[in-house]
Amino acid sequence: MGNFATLQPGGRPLVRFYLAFMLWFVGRAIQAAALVDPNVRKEFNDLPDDFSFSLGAAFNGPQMAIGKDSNGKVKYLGKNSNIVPQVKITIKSMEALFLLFTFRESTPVANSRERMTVEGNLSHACACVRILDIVQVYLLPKPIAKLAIKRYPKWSLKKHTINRLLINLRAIIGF
Amino acid sequence: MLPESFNFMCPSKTGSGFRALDQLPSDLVAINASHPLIITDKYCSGKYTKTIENAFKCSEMTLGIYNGIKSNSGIETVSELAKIYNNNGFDSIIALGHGRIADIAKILNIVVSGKPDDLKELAGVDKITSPLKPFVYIPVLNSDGREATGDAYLDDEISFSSNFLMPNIVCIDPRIITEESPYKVINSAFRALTIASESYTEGDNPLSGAYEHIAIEFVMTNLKNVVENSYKEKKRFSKLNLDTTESKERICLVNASIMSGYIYSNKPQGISEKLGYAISKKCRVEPGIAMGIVLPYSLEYKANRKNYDLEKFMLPIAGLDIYCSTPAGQRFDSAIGQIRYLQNEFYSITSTEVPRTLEDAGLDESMLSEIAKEVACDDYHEATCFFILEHAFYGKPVLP
Repeated sequence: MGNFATLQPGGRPLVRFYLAFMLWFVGRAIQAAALVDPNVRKEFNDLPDDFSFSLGAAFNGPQMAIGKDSNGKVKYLGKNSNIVPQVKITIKSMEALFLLFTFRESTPVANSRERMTVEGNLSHACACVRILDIVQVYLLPKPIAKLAIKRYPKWSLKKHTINRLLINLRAIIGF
Repeated sequence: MLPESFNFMCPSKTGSGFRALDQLPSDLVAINASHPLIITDKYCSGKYTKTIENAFKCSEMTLGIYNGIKSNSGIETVSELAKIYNNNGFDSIIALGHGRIADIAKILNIVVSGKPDDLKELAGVDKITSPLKPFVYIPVLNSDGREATGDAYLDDEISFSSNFLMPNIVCIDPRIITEESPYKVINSAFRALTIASESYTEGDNPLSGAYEHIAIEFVMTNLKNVVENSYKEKKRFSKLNLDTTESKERICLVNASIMSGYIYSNKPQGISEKLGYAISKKCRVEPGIAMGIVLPYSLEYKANRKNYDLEKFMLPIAGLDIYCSTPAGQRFDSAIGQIRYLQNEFYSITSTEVPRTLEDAGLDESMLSEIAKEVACDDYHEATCFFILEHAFYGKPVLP
């Protein structure tokens, strides 16, 4: 039996911490963007009441959940939400989510490489991806955002300055 | 044109490209597997275990790794592996490496999916009647494609053939496809080229045709560069595998080999393939190299003596632009010329290690009739086989 060994691959604590932080920040930024950006607000308005979605990595990787209450208010529900989301976007591995959040792979590329699965209504999932794309543009500088999304939008100066500042501030402060 | 009827079966999921291994844990879960046993040899385990371990990080899976496969491993190794598999509660098998490793993994799968005593009863063609345990194959650069087929050989006497032996998942990752000996690379690439070309020139299955076209194209476009690069002086940091062009070329070759495995599982063996195996038993040359030597002559025989219309063969060999710019009457000869050019180039690049003719390969001329007798079948009589071998021996084209 000298040729046999058992391997316990273990985890990646630093990667997990980074991803948890990014998901936390993006979650709060979505909540903020729903108040500030008309496009994000419209996307959420078109979604049903009490809608929620989650984004995270498989195998108990970091997660985040976003919900919309009956009054249409969008709220970041944290990582361990007890709510069963209507749309669950799962990235197949923590490594793949790390690629996504280090902007080495955009969401469409990750999708085309079969790195994500979606449970729930596909049109709602598409809306969630559009929201994520808008928020990424707000959070990231243009050269990095270009790597993360398919097409960089042509926005007004107000969006690029005031809205961006408001969303970042609200995401940090959390209201 | 759509033929009257055709069948094509490929139960394997192929995952290829950037960080393909990272998806393996979730792909395993999708086929109800969470505790895999990795089977490999000392060479591959030393080189690639860390990469696999990294891919399984955060997956909460425990892996077993057995690295004792040797070129002469047989039933004793299978019994040892079966004990390890059952005692440790593994539920799936991952084969990492080429040839023998995949054979042993497939046979282990038969043993652990049923009764060990059944092994001899299940030998032969299509004797396995139900699906086996999840089986994943991770190829290396010199994988010859046989690993992705439903065939497994324990020794010369016992072999198994069933679609249930084909891997559920084939995972081709650039981090595993690192540089190998050019001779081995040419061997596996020529084997893929032969299987795909012979099947393509029969041209009666549109689904198989898609695989054949791509496999031929991948070999013809990338093989020369991969071989040339392996002789180039290595740059600093070359071990980091940062050159994406080189890496892509290697991935293309492995994809071609794996596709040839899928084609092989759906077609009867061609004449060049049979001759290649028979020749390799008689002299020091590897089967793939021998197949590559015989291929142009058997195709010429088909075109010039059996009057097959093989003009379309140039399309995957040279690409659409050259195909269109070549007059119809010259296309087949031009395609065969390109294969011969490749062989002659390898003869000089490898300093005569890769033979151009059977004479270069060190085959005794007196063996030709023996090989022809051994390979002769209904479609290719002994005289035909001898005719092809004779031409391949001297490197003499088969003229109309």
